[in-house]
Amino acid sequence: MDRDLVERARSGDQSAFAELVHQTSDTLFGIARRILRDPGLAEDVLQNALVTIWRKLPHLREPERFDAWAYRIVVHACYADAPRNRVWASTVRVLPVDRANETDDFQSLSDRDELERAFRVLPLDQRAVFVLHHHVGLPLVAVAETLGIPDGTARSRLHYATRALRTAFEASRARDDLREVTPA
Amino acid sequence: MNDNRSFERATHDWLEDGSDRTSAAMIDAVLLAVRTTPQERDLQIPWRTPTMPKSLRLAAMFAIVAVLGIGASALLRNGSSVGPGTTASPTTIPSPTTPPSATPSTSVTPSPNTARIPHGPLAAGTYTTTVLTPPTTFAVPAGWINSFETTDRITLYLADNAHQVSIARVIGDPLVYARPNPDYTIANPSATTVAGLPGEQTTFVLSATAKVKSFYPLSSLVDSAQQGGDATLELVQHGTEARVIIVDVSGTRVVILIQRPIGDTTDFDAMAQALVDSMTFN
Repeated sequence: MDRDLVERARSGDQSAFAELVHQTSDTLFGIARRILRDPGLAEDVLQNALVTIWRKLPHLREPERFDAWAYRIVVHACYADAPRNRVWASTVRVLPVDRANETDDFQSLSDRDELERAFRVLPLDQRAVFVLHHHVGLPLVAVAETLGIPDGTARSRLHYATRALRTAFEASRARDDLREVTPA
Repeated sequence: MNDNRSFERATHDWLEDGSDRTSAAMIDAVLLAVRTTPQERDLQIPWRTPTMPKSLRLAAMFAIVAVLGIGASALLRNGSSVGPGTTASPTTIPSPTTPPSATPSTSVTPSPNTARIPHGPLAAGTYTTTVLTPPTTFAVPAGWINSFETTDRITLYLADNAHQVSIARVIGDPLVYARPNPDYTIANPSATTVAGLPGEQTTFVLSATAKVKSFYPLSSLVDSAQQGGDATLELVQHGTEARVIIVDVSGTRVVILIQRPIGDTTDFDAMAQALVDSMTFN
């Protein structure tokens, strides 16, 4: 992130902040969308988070750490807003008819649905660690630092999230195998 | 190992599915909110419990009383010297017919048809939008500030932030949305022309008690209406009166929103009208 841009936004320059928003909003939205599994809710959360970022920018001591600081605000905004939206929007995916019988597509769809279902029952703090590590690509130590939690806590949250997803994935594959050997 | 790879691939595909593009309306809304949201000041004054010895505390109290006493006597001396010969220094009282103006320390120079219209105070000149479509050309005197230009909106405002002109490309019809909505008072419909194109204009006032789904500006009206749920969309801000001009530009519905405080007595209307009169759509 451009240090000068952050410095200017920190000192109240709205056009610098606008540029900052344009540079970071897609990444931040990606984090919120993946944690919340609902693009509409993620956009609402991000909107509030960006205003919070603007308000709190003067408190940011090290401008070069803007990204991590912004991630943390977005994750906390997800924590704050999610409980009020317990009813998750269902995701309906339409598979093209002419490809519906292809095993790979079917399996891929089945895998994704299982992973999605498993992820949605995970606590938000586990989801956040998983998304920051696997989507953003932060090392676990950086994830812990970003979220302000001990390394061991980040590791165990990632472990639980991965285990739940792996269980779901294996169940999906087992079901598909069973479907293949069962005569029609 | 193969299972591991399959799991990793499936997880990656699932996690990276979908688009991360944020909508222009959302960014626009954030930037509008930021304009009226002050930053928290970082004063960093350490708050300490006083641990002065009793003698020092007494000395400090004595010093404070002494300073207050000297100050009070100085005030009394000044008060007694005020007589008929003393004239108060002149203070500037703004004329009620003078609209608030931006007093930028630096303003950008116009660069029509080449680059994005810069954020911040604009120098007097003619500007053409390069992001907003249809490309719109307008002329402004010094004093207008550009908030941010997106694909569906540009907002120009004066330094007080209460007077503004927005040009927006909308999908839905604001009148169709607002007419049955009791939160809005719509009045004074009349015909008008912008850049030689026929249009209609009305005034909008949003009830101060309306439950508002805030931050959703006029742009992308249809999408926003769906997101608004049972709350009213904030087409215009509370406490302002807006003149809304709707004009069809080659099949695109363009809305010009002129907002000012209710009961405003400045000549902002004339300024805004001059801006509208200067508009052309390319």
